[in-house]
Amino acid sequence: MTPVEQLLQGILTLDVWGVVKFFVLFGLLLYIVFAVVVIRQVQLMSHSLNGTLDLPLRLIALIHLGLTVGVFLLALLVL
Amino acid sequence: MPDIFVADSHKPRRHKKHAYRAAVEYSTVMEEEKPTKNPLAAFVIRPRKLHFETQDKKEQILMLLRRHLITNVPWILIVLIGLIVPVLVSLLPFWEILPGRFQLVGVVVWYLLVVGYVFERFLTWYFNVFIVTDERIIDIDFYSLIYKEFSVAKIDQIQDVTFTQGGVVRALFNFGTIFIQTAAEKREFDLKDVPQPRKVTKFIHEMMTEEELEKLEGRVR
Repeated sequence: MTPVEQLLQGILTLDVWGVVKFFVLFGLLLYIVFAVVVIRQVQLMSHSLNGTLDLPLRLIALIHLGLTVGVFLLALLVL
Repeated sequence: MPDIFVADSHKPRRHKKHAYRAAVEYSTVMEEEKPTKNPLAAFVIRPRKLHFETQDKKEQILMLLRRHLITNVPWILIVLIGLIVPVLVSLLPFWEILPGRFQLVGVVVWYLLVVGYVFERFLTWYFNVFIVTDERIIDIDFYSLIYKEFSVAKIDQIQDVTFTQGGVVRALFNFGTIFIQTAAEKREFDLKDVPQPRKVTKFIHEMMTEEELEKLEGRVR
């Protein structure tokens, strides 16, 4: 079998959904980093302007991170 | 022998003319407006439970401005459309090609992105503020996730205040843009789409007049 034929066979037998799963998980990993940055951002913003909504906003940021991790785990298990 | 002069035994009072005056004493805007309690207001007067970094102990926040609530409508509309996108996409023929597990994860990830977008837009609106204290003006702007601009000018450094209010929406909901020229390091403060620009301009003028009077009368805090 020539290298070209080997490549073609490799492409044909490639698990397309496996590749999609990899990209989805990679994207979700990046989103987890974003969610962590958002928590830091809320801390910095609350430091600049301290009001009555500080605690709720910090909680929402934490819940957002929790949801992100949850969706990542869901994707890891289901896909 | 009768006393010709008897010294007053009372302690000398601080002359009222030279005392520090609260904003409600010299500002008609402060006199008219009641303290704001709503934490989500865009036009906040004398908030009690609000502090900013670099605030002095005796410094009092007199006014806090955010963009008018109506300026949030465009992104709220985007979110509402975003909420029905999965339903619309499910009607397309290619949706059937996707395995069920990918459909499920796709929908969940989409709604997660929508939640992140809403939170990010809210934070940008809530924390981009302009503050007027009894001593200075402060502009706090967050341009990206962690880039912040914190500009300050003392009241006596303000040189000119003007505002523009053009268009049907601005006239209808009474909001506009205020330009403040200063002698501080930041030469111009632009307050975009803030509520009640006429009232804010009037208040800053009152503050400037009071600051000049303080200097003339030798009043200090």
